[in-house]
Amino acid sequence: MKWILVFVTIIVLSQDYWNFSSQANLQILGFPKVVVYFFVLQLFLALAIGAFSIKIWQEDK
Amino acid sequence: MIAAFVIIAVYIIGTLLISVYGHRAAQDTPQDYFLAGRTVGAVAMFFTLIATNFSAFFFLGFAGAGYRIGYSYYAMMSFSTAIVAFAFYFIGHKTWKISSKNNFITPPEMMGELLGSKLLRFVFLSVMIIFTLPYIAIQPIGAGKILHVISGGQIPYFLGAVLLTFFIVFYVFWGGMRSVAWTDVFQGIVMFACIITAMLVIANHFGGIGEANRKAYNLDPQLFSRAGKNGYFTPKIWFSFSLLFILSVPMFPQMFMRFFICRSPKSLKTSATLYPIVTAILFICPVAIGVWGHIDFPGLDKAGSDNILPQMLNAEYFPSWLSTAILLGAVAAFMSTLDSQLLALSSMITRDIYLVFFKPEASLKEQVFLGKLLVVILAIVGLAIAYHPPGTIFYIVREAFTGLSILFPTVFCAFYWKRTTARACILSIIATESLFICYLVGIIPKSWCGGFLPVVPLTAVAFALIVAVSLYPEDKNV
Repeated sequence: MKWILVFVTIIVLSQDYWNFSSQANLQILGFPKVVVYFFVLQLFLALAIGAFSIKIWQEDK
Repeated sequence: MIAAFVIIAVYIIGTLLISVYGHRAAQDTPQDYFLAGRTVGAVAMFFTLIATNFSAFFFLGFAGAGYRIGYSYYAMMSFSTAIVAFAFYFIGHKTWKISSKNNFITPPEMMGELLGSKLLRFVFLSVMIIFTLPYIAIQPIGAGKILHVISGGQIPYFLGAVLLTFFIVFYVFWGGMRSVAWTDVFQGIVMFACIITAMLVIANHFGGIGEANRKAYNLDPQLFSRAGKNGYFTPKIWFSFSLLFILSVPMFPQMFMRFFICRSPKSLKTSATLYPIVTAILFICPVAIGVWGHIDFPGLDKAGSDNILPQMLNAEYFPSWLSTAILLGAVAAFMSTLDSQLLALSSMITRDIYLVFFKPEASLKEQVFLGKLLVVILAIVGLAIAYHPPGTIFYIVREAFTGLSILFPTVFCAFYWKRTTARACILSIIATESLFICYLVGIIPKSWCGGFLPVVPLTAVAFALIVAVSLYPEDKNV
């Protein structure tokens, strides 16, 4: 169920990304949506990898 | 001009002091010289991965691409580079486990021993050398050109290339991987500070980041579009680049060997978590500078746009001492990549050619001595090529990412699929590299890639060959 939710979220977000207009989309600090979108996405990626490191990635001594 | 020379001197002395410190901690064994005794901690690991991976292309090439393509280039490059962090687990962690357990020093050595084949070791090594050696020639060319600009034309380009290369040789010769990793920390910090400062100073000149973006947007709204100028980044190209980076970056020998040197998986975990944050923040800077370049320097062609960063730094509003310091960040990026490439190649030639084909009984001291000698020889070869670089050098460098990504299926299958055989991997590498050459020379039409970059079909072929040949019964006695 968790994985389905993640998959659906990715699809919805990527649809939003590919469909948004290229015009008049200046957002935070005047950076366009294309920058803001990926900036946030990478911060989430870092969080996901951090969580993965703690939960799944076991230390090998 | 005095300020420029003072800044260069401070940078060189700083790097030297760090390398001296590295030398004092070094021991005369291959494990220590080539891998820093596998003792690199989390902070040094993070910086050495970043500094090694981000070459001067990050400074100059990104700004040029930002000028030509727009902010879409940031999205594509930063995200595609960020997901390389996954390779730190799937390739890096496994590499660390296997290499530290078996005392492997080079990637070809590990692959050859893992699948019990000297031929695979040699094929793997050959691909790595073919796609890395040209880099050793082009790095000094770029570094020499930047030094020429920094010195106001007083240091000729080739003299600059020679001086920087021998400076690198000096500290690599002296301290090996330990010096390289520690100087990478210093060089990485210099790089980060320089590119962020450059963006902020330029933005300030245009009235702030928001105002600079608005001005650039009014000049060319396409620079702010999702697919970039002229719709370059289609979904298929996006997918291709994402795949290309995650497959190829860990296969560059200087990056692959980083997975051998960490003290524990904790170093890799920290680096993997921080990597996407760094790409998210840092990659904006050169791309934004490139986009804002349209305000002061409109209508540049490809060659002109590749030079947009130095042009912006030479503007009258930019203090000359600061532009020198920032260009030094680009030199730091060159150095941190070149030193790692020299050490990676010297270790592979020592371990995978000399030790295998010429003198298997060579002592540990002899291996270290040969490794040091090779660092000098490779640097001289690189400079000799750099003096009159043939066009093929630039061609090979341009295609290195795809050429090296073909090694990924071999590594992945060897790590995760027990039925993988050496013969299947050898066939996969040779056949797929041959297909790639056919594609490059035009024997295979570009349309066969179906709108993707060649890495997509080539990876599929490489995996399919490994699986098919490994399952073939005659394959067991290699």
